[in-house]
Amino acid sequence: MVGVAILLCLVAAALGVFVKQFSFNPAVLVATSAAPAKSAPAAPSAAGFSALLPAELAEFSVPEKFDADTLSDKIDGKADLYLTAGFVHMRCQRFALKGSAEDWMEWFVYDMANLPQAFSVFSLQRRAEARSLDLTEFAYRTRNALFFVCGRNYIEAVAAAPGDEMMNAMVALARNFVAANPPGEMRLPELDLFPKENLVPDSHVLQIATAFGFDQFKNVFSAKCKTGDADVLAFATVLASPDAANALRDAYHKFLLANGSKEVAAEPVPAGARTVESFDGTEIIFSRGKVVAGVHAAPNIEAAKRVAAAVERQIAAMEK
Amino acid sequence: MNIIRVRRITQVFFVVLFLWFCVVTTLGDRWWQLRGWPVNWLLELDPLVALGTLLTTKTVYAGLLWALLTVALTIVLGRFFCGWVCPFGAVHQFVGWLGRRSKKHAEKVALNQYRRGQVVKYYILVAMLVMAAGGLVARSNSLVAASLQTGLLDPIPLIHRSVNFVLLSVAEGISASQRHYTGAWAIAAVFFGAIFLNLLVPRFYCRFICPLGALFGVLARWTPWRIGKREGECSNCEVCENNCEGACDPFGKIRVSECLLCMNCLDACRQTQMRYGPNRSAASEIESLGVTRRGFLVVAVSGLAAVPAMRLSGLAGKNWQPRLVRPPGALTEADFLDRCIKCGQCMRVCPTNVIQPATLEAGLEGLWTPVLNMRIGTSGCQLNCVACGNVCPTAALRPLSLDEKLGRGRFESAGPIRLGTAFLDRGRCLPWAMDAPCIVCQENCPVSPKAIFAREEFQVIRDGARRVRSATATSVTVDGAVLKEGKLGTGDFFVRSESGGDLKRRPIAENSADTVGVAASASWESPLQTGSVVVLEVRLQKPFVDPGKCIGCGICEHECPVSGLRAIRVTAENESRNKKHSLTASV
Amino acid sequence: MTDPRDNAALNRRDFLARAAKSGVAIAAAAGIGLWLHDRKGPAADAGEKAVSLPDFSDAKLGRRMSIVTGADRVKTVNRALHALGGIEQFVKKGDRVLLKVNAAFASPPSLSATTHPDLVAAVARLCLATGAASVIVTDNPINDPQSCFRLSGIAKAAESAGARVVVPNEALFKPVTVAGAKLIRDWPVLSEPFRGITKLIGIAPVKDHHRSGASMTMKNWYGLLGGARNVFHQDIHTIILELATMVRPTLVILDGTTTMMTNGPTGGSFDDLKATNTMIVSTDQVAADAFGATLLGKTAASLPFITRAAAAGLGTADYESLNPARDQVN
Repeated sequence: MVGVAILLCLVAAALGVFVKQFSFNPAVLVATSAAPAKSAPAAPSAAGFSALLPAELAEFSVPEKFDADTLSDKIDGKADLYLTAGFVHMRCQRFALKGSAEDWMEWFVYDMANLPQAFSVFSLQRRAEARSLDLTEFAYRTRNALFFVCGRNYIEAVAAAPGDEMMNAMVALARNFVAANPPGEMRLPELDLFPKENLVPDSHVLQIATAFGFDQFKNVFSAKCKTGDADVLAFATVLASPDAANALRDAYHKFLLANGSKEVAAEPVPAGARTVESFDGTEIIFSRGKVVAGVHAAPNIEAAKRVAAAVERQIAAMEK
Repeated sequence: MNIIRVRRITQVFFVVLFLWFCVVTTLGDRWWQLRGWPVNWLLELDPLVALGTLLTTKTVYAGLLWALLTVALTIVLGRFFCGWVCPFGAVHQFVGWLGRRSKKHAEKVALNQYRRGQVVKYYILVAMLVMAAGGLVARSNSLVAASLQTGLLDPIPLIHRSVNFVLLSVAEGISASQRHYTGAWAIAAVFFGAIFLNLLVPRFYCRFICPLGALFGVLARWTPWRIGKREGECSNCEVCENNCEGACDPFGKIRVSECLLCMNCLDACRQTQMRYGPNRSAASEIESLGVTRRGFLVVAVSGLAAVPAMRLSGLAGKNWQPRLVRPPGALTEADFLDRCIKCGQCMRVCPTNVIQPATLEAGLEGLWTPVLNMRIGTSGCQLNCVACGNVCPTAALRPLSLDEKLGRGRFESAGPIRLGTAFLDRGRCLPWAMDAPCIVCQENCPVSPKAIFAREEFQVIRDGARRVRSATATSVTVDGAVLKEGKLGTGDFFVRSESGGDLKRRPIAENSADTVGVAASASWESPLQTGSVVVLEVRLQKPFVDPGKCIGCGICEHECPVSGLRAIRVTAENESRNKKHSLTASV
Repeated sequence: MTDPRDNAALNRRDFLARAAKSGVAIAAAAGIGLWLHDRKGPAADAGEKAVSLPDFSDAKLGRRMSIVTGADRVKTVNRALHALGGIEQFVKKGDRVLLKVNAAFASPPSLSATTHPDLVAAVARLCLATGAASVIVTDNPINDPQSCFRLSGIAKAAESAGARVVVPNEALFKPVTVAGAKLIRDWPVLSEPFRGITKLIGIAPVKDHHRSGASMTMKNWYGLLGGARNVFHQDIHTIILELATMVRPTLVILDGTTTMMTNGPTGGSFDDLKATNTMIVSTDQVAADAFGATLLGKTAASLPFITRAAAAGLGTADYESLNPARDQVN
């Protein structure tokens, strides 16, 4: 009897030990949370980019990392652009040409969580003097910098001064980065919603949130279409269902009217479209299937109708 | 149920539990890793740990309150811990049993006779408690102080050390990750020595040496329940003493304080004479421990004198040992030695195996206390790890939060915990002394901004001044000793003309035995003149340590390619735990 | 053979006695254990709770200064104190006075690296004559304390005047944190001799100093620091400022009779010395040092610790504004 009692005590002890192991030792909590979140210091090349450096570049500063709270510490007001587009974190570091400390550049990798968001910040900041760059589907360079999308990342390399040697080095670094982080095929099917003829090249832009000031306009693609004398901005966004598309079309229409636009009494082109005249110009909004599309701030109604019709035809063609 | 069987099950239970705790004391969240396993439970149940630290710190720290349970049960039941719980005791019992299995009855009885030497463990207990109590007697004079040495012979810390450092390491060696522990031979010697002594006398350690057993012996004097004979006279077969573990003489006048409650006598006696009950043995008892007043005084005075004697080397004061880099969270040395029971849990859990048992770095008192040896293990002290303090049962290493260790948040004004500072040995460092590019220490420095920074210097290499024999826009052929093919093309070497208009140095892209070539983008406008002087240079980044940033983690020392006596070494100057060791004015 | 029933009764009594003792023992153990239970463990620091030094200055006395020229320092110090109203203005009957001298080096008085023993004796005598209950003399020397106090002559002089020398040992240092300080945080300071002290007089020679430019009354308090105080030389002006913040004396006596003009603070050659024959007594250590700088041929403005101390409100560098009483002794 005593023996049984003692054995029961052992069982109780074993149970107690088992229950206790569910409340982790603080050291274990630190060890398991610190691993992914913090830039693990044991392998600095993982936090920095030294593994990707081409021969002619040397590290010029320590790698830095910024998250949503601290991004503005680095890029000040520009942080908003990234934050509204789904910014996760940014890593940056400076490099210089070996043997010449005056020739330095800064390398920024913005992790935007997915391709569309990375494309969005890429497209919104496209410089006017962009020159082509054979790197990824979405890439361009200027005199002293290069910009590209690689999967979920948006990368900028900005040199302190223009120069061929530095540009070559930056391109080499970019290629190493792409090789190390292969993006696969980067395709944004929505870009095909815009007619290819008369399209101003590389004018696609993706606005993740609050396009044209309308807070229900999320993930809105736009592109410039040449027509006669002017460029007209066409836009399109894909919804979950035709009903949602119709609802959004009507909501935007109401939004425009509520903000001082006036209904235009004219034949709607394409069929079922809403046409209004706002301060910026003529707006046409229509829906076809799951897509809400149209024309924004066109200089005159003829041009607006032409482009809207072309877009509608393209969407119809893509449906097949 | 047969009480012997229950006892055996209990002993096995605690041995298995102990071994399980040893195995899981490794940082991680899998079921076979630390998680929340209460790996210090046996150390916390050990009243000698609680009593020792109570005397040195005047507190009972956190989980050590468990010892109350053991004390209460011992006062009521007797030395149940020795006979039923202590894993070291279980090992001794097993080996002793193995040793005497084939012996005859008379031999067994002789082996289990009470010996006068069994009083030695009480003297050991007195000596240790007096040493621990030194601080209560003296004022703040550093010589007469306390020193906690119970850990040396207390069986629970002892078996933790022995299993963790010796048995587990050897077992791990069969798998990939071999851990090392300095001086483990001594720990093994003590452990195996104690175990093999059981072949001489069963439960040798328990009977003659164990201070914990002695403490239990003292507590067991007034147990309401005890082993004893029913009647004064019996058949004198002495079978009860065949397997008497405590050598307490149950046949005659039983020595209550030596009885381990192994219950073997109960089980063996064929006349049901032996029982565990509320009455004293009918054959009467010996309550005395055998401690004489003279013996007590001799040991007490020795204990009192021992601490100042050990402290005379000044190791806790001006003669402090710079090689004594203690783990993060360690208290100031005197306070640390008041708490460390040398259990080795911190060394066991350390993920990089950098914490080692000290030999004499901390003096005699510091034997087997934790000290960092940056060369051993997989890395120095990891930046984002707070394991050691969070497994220390006595808070000799404080349980740190990551914020406190890194000096973040609430602790920003205090700054990060520093273990010491790294010092460059310029006579051994490759870029400083040997014209060899290397910047491994700076690359691996984990703090941000780095505590190691480099200053660039261009040095003409040995035999680096040459004359041009011929040249093109992108190459120069030189006279002089043969160049090692490809050696100069690593990106660290440069060529520079010393005459003419273009004195700019260019990185060497490749070289053959007599020609160095540069990249097209670095070509000379016009090829260098034959006969002019060019120099071949190496670009050295010479490391410097910033004492304001260095936390003494030792990763640099660990990674330094000068693998014998490292060219950068951490010593304890500027350690946070002792302001007297400050290196810089602002701490 | 005893009656089995008696046996049983005895046994039961014995059992109860043991049970009672056990109960008491368990209760005692539990009591101690729970009472002394410490859940949190030791704190990070030995305690930044600042033990600080008391303020010995007397606001009622205001900022006063006297400057007396003459070759005999005993005479000049007497005259200087007289010019301020006599020692009794500062030391009252029953006061326990601490004289903080400079005994940093085991150096003979003639080399002027330490406070002159004649001056120590004179001041001690004055204090005792006016009714002070006791006078102690102390400093934490750089070299071995016994030889410093002996070879500088200060030990003999103090004892001959009836004062007691307190030679520092480790037990006399306690950690002190100066509010708002960067350097003196939890730092061992020779604070135990100050127990029971009611008046503090600093007595220092005027010396050039290699690191700080000059060593006078404010730098004199460096001799109260313990531990590895050499680290503070890396930020010498800040430490002097913090010392002046930590210590508010009743009076400072700056001995410019023989000034060490160069090669301070140890000097070593008589060529380093100049007989500037001036004694300064003041309640404002900043002003005293500002004037002392002129004896070294320097300006207060060129000594950062003076300008910083003045800016911190510890005194004024414009000693003339104190209207110092000037006199001379032939």
